[in-house]
Amino acid sequence: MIVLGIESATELVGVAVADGEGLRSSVWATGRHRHGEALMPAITHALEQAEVTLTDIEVVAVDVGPGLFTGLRVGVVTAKALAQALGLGIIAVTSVDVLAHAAVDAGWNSEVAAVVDARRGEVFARRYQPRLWGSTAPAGLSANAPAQGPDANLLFEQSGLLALGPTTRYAPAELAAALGTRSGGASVDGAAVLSPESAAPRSGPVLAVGDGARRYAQDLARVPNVTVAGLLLASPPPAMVAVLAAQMIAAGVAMAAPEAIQPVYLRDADARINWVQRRGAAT
Amino acid sequence: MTTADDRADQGVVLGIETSCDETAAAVVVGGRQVRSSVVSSQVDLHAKYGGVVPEIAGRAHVELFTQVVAEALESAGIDPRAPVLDAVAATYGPGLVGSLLVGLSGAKALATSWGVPFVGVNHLEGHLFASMLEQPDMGWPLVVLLVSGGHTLLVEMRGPGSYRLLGQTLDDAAGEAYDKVARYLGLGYPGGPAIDKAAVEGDPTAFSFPRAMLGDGFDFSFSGLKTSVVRTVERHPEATTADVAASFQHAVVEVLVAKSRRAAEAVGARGLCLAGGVAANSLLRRRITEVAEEIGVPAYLPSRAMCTDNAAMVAAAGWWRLEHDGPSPLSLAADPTLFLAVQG
Repeated sequence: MIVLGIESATELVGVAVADGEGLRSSVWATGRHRHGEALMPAITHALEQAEVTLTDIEVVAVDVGPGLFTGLRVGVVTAKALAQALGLGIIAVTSVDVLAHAAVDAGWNSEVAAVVDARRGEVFARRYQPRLWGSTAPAGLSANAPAQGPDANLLFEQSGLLALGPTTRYAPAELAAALGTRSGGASVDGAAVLSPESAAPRSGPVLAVGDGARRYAQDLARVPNVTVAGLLLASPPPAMVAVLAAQMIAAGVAMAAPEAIQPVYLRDADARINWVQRRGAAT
Repeated sequence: MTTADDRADQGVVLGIETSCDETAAAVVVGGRQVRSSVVSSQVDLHAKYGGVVPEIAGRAHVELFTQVVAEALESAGIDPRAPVLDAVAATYGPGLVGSLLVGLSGAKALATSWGVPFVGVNHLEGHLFASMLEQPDMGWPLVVLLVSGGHTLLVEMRGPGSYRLLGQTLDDAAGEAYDKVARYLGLGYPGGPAIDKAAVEGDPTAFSFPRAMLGDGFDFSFSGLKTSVVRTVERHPEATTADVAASFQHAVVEVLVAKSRRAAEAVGARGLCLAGGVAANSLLRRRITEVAEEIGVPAYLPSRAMCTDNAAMVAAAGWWRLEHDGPSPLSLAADPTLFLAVQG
């Protein structure tokens, strides 16, 4: 099963080819050329490096976010068009899941916070713990509950990572406070963990990965148990998009039709937010 | 295997247009024959904000892209898995960058998957090709008045690909003036059709709004009109919306038509042509027809579907560009401020 993986959720744009045995090629770029310019040439380069052609591809995988709105649109519409023209299904992965798996792949075996820069002083974050750490899911937390999407649990069964709640938008200080408390405490919902009455004990070591973690490293590093990962875990690696998707297919995750795939923005357009607020104020 | 050269229907192009708030795809043969043209308008999504919201437009294009392309291929009888196509063309500018990138990125991926050339198209040149889809035998040179929500240009067109800019707006586009005044009068969005409709019952001579730069060159200025409308309504609270709309529309159209006529006479045009969304305006169509008759040249008025943004015009311009300049690189960037390339 040859997978073409597309990554464009952050400043990095890249493409990778993987099959059941692992990675076959990976190409990525940061810098001057924007996603819309760099992505399609990167696809042809990655195919060439993998010694395959587009007609050999059997699945298209794409990072659907959250992340940069325009970057996501470029990646997602490219994946949709490839799948439509080649008659293929799509595996959607999220930026935070890819980052968390990259952290585990890099050798980390404790809690992970995947933190993507949401701009305007906010981050999108999701917390994970390896299944090896502790025995089973913390009390009150069903292994089936937190994952996003109907098939996401299969992914976590496979990888040994357990997501601790949904991806949430935080102010950096809120996230820091949440990371300072044990993730399996009163609630896995970021807001509830923040409640001052919460006597949740301090968490174990947390690795914060992603461009949001790097941007707000000073806020997060105030929490003693948090380590902010370096440059190579700042963006979801395209290689992990393709490899993860190959694992998901092996685990039985169903592919989606191209028209069913949409970016995960986790924030309304400004005009809509303002309009809803004005309406709310008027009534 | 059938090659392009063996086929009678050479130059089958899938065009894609997402520069503003219409998600469109079309199949055109040889730059002339429209086999399908699908336009999914987002106008309802933007109406409550009184104008196009870029982020909402970008999101809607992604949602609509796959279905609009599928429908254009299906109506043209093209199998998306084994398409008999010679190119995929997409608008790369001018327009909203977040919208342009959707069609541009999708078109590159479709073209690469099918192994056919990708061609980037200038949206303004697309509008200039719209008339040719319906009028196969136009004489050159033409004077084209391209008027829309984003542009107001007067162009001498000496043939496909050969343009001279005669004049343009120095501030607001004509369509923008319509939107602003319609919003002020509470007529809703988009302003063009709303004012056109409200003006039917009105007296166009009720108020005299400024005809900016009427006798002065081929450039336009519409930014003072809204202020003038506001002042007039304040001074005449009894004024009916119909009279204000009719008088406003009369002022805009008089300037557009007078300059088009002078331009046609100055360059010895063999035809007067309209393009762009405002070219669907009924008064403008009537007046251009009358003026063309007065100076003894044909008026070319594209159907309303060809005036507003569509992908058939993109496919037509794309085929011409492919034949003359070859394919575009897959690294082609969206260019929100792209202007019409002026060539001898």
